[in-house]
Amino acid sequence: MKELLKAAVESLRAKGAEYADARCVRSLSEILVMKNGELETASVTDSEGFGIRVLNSGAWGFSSSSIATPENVSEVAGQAFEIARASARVGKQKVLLDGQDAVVDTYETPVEEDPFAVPLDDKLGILSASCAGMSKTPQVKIATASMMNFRTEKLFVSSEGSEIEQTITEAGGGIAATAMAGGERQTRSYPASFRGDYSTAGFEFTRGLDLAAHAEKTGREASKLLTAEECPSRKTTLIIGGTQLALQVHESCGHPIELDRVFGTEASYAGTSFLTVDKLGDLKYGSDIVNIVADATSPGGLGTFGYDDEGVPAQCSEIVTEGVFTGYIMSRETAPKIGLRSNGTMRADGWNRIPLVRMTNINVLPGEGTLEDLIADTKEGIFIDSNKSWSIDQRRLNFQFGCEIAWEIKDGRLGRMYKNPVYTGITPEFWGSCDAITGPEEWHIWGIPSCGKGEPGQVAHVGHGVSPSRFRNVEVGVRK
Amino acid sequence: MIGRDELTALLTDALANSPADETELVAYTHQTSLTRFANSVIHQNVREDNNYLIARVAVGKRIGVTSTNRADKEGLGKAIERATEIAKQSPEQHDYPGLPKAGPAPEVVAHSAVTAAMTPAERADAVGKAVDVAKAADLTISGAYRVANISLAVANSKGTRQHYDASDGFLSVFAMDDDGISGSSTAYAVGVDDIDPEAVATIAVDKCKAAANPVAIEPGPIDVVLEPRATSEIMEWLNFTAFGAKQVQEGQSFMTGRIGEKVMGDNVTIYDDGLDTAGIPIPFDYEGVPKRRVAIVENGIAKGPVYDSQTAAKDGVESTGHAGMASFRAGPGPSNLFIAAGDSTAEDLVKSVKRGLLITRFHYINGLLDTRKALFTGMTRDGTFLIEDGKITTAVKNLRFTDSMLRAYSNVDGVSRDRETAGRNWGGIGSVTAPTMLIRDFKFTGSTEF
Repeated sequence: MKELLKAAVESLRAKGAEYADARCVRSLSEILVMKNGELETASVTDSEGFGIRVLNSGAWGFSSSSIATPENVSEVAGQAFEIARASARVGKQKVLLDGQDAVVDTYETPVEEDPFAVPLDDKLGILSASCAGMSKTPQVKIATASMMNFRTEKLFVSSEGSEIEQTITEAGGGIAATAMAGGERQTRSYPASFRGDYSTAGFEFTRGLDLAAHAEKTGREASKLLTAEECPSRKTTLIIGGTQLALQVHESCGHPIELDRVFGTEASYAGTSFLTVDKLGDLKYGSDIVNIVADATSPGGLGTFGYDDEGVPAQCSEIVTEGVFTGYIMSRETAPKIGLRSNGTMRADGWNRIPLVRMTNINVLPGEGTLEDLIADTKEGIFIDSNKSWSIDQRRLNFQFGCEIAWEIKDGRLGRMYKNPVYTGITPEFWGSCDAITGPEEWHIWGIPSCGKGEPGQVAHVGHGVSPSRFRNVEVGVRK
Repeated sequence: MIGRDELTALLTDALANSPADETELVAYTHQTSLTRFANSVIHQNVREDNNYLIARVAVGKRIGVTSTNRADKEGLGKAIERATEIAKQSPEQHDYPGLPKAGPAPEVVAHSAVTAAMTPAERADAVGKAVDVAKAADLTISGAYRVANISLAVANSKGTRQHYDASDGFLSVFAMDDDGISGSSTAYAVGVDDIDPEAVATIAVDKCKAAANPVAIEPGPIDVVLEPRATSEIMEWLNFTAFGAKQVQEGQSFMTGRIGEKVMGDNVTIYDDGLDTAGIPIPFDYEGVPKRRVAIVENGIAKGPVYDSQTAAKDGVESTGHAGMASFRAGPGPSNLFIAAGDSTAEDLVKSVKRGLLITRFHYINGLLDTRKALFTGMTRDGTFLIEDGKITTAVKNLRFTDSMLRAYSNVDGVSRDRETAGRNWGGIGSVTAPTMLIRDFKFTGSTEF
């Protein structure tokens, strides 16, 4: 296949294209969902094909197919060339790419236990024990345990001479208990909501989650939520747990730093960004203790890889430094527009999609102390965790998050449990109110396998390293 | 794309060779092209030829599901083999009712030769016409022109055989000024000859111009006139959280325990009709069961959800023909959803508002806050306007709503005669056809800076 793709990009150069690249991707995924001890889903999906991207007459074209015969590779290359020519019919543009060295290399996720070699019985045993644990609480009417495994083999060749082969393996899972009584319905999850936590790793990561051991507590908390008080509405101090803070980073930092979005290429669909280029190096995004990086090299991060889908090496870039907005995630096309080079964040959701600027691991660097210390240091407030709902405006300023659970903090201790907590804010004000970030002992990269972007839609797997943090004067609850 | 005869032969042959007790094969093949534009130039332009084949097998009551994009004898054979292995190792699904044996579904016309033949150059020229409209108004535009040709086939070992060809075109245009103020419009049709790019761009441009210099207003309850896209976006989330039998059976839906009760206003009727060509028709579901017209909410009364075989068996009723893909197991859901038309015009609805807002569309709705109450949140976007004494007086800055859609749709005080059809926001075959609606005291709870 490599020779076919190399021939295709060479032929495109010979026809006059400024640049061409080709990717062949083979992906395998497994989804297992058990509900109340019955196997609801046992599904394996494979997909294989190739895509060719070409820059011709200053504009992009892309075509892709699942049929990898020599004739079809040549035909698809020709389609991409003609599509690029059609792109150039509208307006005047001249796409320019930054200079990058050609790379010939391989990369493979370090894996201790191949998730696809683990017997199905073994996996179902974990899910079954988890469901049983949650169902020990009588009010738990729906006990769900799930796991997903992914393997992606990618070959990238470019007209600049790059040849890169990568194998990315990802695994993880989670549990959720839904308790119901008297018209009330509450869900509690572990380790995170919406299918759990994921990592670039093998099945050792899933085993390490120890889902079954956390099942009874998860079920009990779901039940307790049924009779918990409604979270009061007021401006207060908020300590946000890791799983919710990961989504806060995702929506209010990760998306607005995408430089393609800043330049308006997502405007019609997901929106633009308040982090316009005039604010780079100038805007106070957060308080002095807020430091954020985009790090595609973080071990185990779900946004960790060897090279992006333009062949640029994975790297770590500063995004927010001592509270000041200092960097974007960028592509070979967008970075030169602000005098920079790509920091390797272009990824495509399979062979049939073009790469877009995507989050890698957007990590808030840890501060110091434990969560226990932080709660002890808080006279009054609310501790909130586990996302339930999310919404943010099209420039990523006004956000509202709902969570599964909260607790009152009074005189340095956790008190009453609250249900249906919601908080809202404006992004820079919110991060500006951050006055404590817990330390490395609390820090974890949460894997989110469901980041949507683009048309046609693409789903990316991304990571967010965070530790529980404290924010002052946050509006909790919904205005009446 | 694979032709009908070739696809039928592939599925028939694979069924004959399946080692499982029961086998269901779904083939979704498509050729999709999408021209995306921003800053008034085409920046992404893509084409995809792909197949999605799903094998669901039963060994006794043990089920295995696999999917592959290999539409050939060997690829599909391996998928069936792997599904059978998974099934053999899986515990029994006690409520598995067996595969449905369905008669032929009615033929519907959902395919256009003009759409099928559209070239990249023709799409680019259509975009060029929209760009010219924006240039004349000193605005830039972005958006997408998507064209898809689809074949869907379902065959199972009980003799069910269905085939459907469809095509559609979708154009979205988003106009923006130098301050980032925006207006937008869309068109969706089976035939791209029914899509007028200049007309779509003109609406977006006019919206953008009218949305300039927005003023801030205090959040709070206020009357709203929701244009069809805004209503469709809410319906998509009700689809996801409430209208399928699985959501009802699992206690997630607002209809759980309330079927037969009044949940919305007398003037709200919501139904799914797979054969209605006013939307995008699809005659059968992913189990091959022909679609029935289903009243979900009728004159404000919750009538019940849509079903697939498994959820229907659980409730002792028949499938309504709304199964989703077996590989996702999201449960059944509407595919060609409608809100019944009223007898007003959109202009009449605006005139009947003393103080309120005209909403073009929403952004980032989330309906998971409290699904039993249908408590939703979301932002306005692309043109939000103040109505005073029946007239639009100024644009306003965008607002966040947080409200129960049951409460809101109990306060409907007018529905337009005209409706618009929108494609599914989340992709796949299907549509929502919605009117303009006047809702009293819609609750806004926050605001943003633009």
